[in-house]
Amino acid sequence: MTVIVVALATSCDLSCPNTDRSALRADQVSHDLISLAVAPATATLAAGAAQQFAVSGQWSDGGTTAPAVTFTATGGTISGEGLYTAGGVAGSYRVIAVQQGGALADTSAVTVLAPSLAPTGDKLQISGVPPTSIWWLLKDSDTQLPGASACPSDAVTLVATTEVTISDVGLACRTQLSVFAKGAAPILDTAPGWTPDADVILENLPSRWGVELHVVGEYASTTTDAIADAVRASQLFYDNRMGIYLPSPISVSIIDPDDAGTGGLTPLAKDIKGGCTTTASNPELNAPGRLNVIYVRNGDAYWPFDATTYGKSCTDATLPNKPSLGLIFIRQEHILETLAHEVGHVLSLNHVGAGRNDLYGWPASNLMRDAIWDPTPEPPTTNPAVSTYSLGQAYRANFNQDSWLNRLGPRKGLDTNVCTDNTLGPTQPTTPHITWPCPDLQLE
Amino acid sequence: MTIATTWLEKVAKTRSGATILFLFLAAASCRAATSDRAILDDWFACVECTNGELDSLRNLAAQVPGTVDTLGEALLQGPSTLQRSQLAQQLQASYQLMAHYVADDPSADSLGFSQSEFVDKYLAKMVTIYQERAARGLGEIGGHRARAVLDSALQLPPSSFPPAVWAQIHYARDSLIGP
Repeated sequence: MTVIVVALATSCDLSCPNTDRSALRADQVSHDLISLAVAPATATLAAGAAQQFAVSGQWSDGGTTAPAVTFTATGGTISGEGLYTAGGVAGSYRVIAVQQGGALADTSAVTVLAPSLAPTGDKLQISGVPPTSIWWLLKDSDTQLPGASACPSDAVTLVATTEVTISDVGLACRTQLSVFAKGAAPILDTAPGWTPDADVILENLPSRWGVELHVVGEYASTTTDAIADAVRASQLFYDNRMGIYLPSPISVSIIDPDDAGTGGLTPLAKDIKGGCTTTASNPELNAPGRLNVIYVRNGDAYWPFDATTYGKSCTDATLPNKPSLGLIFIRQEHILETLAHEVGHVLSLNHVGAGRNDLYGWPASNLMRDAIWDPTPEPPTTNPAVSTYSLGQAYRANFNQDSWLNRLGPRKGLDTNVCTDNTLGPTQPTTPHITWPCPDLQLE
Repeated sequence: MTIATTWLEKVAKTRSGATILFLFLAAASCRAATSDRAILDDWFACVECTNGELDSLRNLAAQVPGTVDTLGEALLQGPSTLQRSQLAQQLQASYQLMAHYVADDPSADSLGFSQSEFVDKYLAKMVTIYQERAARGLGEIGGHRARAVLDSALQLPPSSFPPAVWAQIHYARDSLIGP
């Protein structure tokens, strides 16, 4: 049987010019495939880089025509034609080709390298990434060393996909760069001090996203509360690479919930007493892209939620994953970090710890624990006990489709989570370890 | 210790001073074990309290009778002097970080208050929350011992507590059945 088919194929190949040759591939006839091999057998790739893999076969008739295979891969994605694209997490992975309709398979070993940042003079060389990757500098932080003057806040810029130039940064200042590569997990490295260089051209930097706050307060000291809370939140966002800040001046409206002057509640005060749904629907609060924060004065008559709480992020329960409505309630008596915690919810972050999403053990300092202060602190107490977001939380806050930043906030419409095949990236991963399968995530 | 002494003197002058003094002394000798402290702290510190903190507190109270005494002490005294000192140090550290951030970021609001004003303000909020949670916890646990603590607190002058705590004591007591 096999011999006959091969003879027909050979004959036609020579004498039938209009024949569809694809119909005569060796794997579609009944030769016996003795072995198959994937090449290259090993590959070392930068995060996000691509590598074409090919298969060859040894057939019972001595042929080496490529058999039909199905590719699978770990640590990245692979097309049906064997084009592997490395993910963003460094490690050892595999590309596997399995014979279609058969039992033979072969495996290639893939090593994905961790990108790195290395300071050389006034420049920071980015290595371990393909030049076609789009890089996004989330921030240039500055940690002022003792006795130094203030560090510049805009001394870092991206001038090429593989190079960052730093200017006006004295040796007394150190800069940390949070860098995202297209299609890859966030990459963080720390660059130590370098030699300043005055001759540097600064180009436009993707800046942190400013989240405009609209504060409504029911008590006179709302403004000072809101400023302190917002500064603390912005500082925590900055120190934890969250990529957002709460710009000043903050718009604060003080209202009297009892409207004592006129003998009746204003519509907004009525809505606030009603809680999330009524407040969110108030026309005074529906400016697009603005995050509303309601400071409610003490007393059960005013706080529209259970008296055990002092912070509340309002969500749209009618939608999957209950995304934020862009509305936060904070009770007059609250902990300093309450706004930072609730903004975390707004940006799609769930509670961690206390048995929730705790597989990997969240540090006690994580701001998305429900307990954001330690009533019985142990020395040393020179650092705030609760002050961190994880890198994964920072990533999800920026790229979850349900993050208010993307759904209703300043990044609405930017399609930051849409892959080129119009699928959406994952939502609400519950561990700090990141898997982002969307290969064409648009970060710019 | 100064705070505790002052409080004891104040309590001793009230009609129910003897009762409260008994509870306080009982609390001093019958506090929740260190391993149970985390349950109490979770209750004191939770923001939205949706992680079962209240249930854990009730369970603790069912197993450790001293829980009510600990909450009573927390209600009447607030955090200890050592706790307040350490919380104040943490707030000072927060203020320094915020001041540094504001100094470096031209887009940030100036803080507009001194470090001492900041520490005083937010420490007072912490103390208030601590006492509020103690009152609410007592109301949720219930029983004659919790009721006695709440009744004793209500016999103190309202100025003994921040208004929010005073309101919470009333709420907790009203939630208990019985005179």
